[in-house]
Amino acid sequence: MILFQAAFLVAVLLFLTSALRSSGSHAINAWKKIGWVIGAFVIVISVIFPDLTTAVAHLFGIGRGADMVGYLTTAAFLAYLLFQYLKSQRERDKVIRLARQVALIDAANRYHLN
Amino acid sequence: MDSAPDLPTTGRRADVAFVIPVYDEAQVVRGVVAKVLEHYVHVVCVNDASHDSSAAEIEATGAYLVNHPINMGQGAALQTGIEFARRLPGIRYLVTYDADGQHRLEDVADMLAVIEAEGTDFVLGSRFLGRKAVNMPALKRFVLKLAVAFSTATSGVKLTDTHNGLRVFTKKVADEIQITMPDMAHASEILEIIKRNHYTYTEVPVTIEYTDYSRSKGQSLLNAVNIASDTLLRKVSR
Repeated sequence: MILFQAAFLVAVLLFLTSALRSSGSHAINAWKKIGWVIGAFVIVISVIFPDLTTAVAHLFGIGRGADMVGYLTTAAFLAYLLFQYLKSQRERDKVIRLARQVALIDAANRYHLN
Repeated sequence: MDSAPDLPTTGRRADVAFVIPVYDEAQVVRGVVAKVLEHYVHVVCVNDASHDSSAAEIEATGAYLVNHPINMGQGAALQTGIEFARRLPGIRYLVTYDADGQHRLEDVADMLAVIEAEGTDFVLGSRFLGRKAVNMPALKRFVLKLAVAFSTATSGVKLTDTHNGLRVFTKKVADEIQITMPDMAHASEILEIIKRNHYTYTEVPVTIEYTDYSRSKGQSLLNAVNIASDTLLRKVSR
């Protein structure tokens, strides 16, 4: 078990450092980075002290810590899916506006409407 | 093709622009457009990246042809056509019309008479007002009734037929409208735009002729599920 925990911690730290190294000056990125650090911290704590997650789970009326982690993971995944869907819709809107301008410019040229 | 439609304009209305989204309608589009051009000068066909020879068929009629570089859906094609048509000189009214021949020009004439007489922003065709739709399959009727209830609930605009492609509206509306739902969900979105912009509207009974062709081309009824979920998700995202 110690071996797994050590390997897991190394993996989390490697992910975190590579993620944080990515450049980008937008404020939204800063918030994302803070979120990742907090998330990684929670994961590391829960791996090192598994009893702690069970204690927190009991606070919410959930029997086992592993169950709570499962619920949270599922919720996070669904939130991620929704976020990605909305993001893809926004990207689609941009492509459509661009393609529409291409079509309109082409037609205006053919019919000398400028 | 490098000039505007050059058929004789005598007796044809030049203050109305038809917007016809076209996607793989090579079989019928030429006949439909030619019939419209007998009575109206300005017909704008938006070819939504058809795989067949729709573009050539449209060009043969002398209607305006606007080519989408990629397939973007009927709602996107309508918006493109509206943006093209509103730049044409002398346009007072726009008509959205289907390429598959299920709409009737007699109904358009009625709707134009109503919008001119009543001065509303929109006149919408209804299959469920007075006249009967010709050959409408029973399941389609049921799903459309459901769609009416759904659209009334999401848009707050009360109509008897919410998913009718036959609409007439003013140039002012054309200048302001921005349809963002690229696919079939645009029908509900147009109602939301009517509500949001406080447009006035009237419904006029129209006849939809369900031919074997239009039925085979019509959207599958299961698509209603997609339309409903898109409409609800849009409310989440905006």
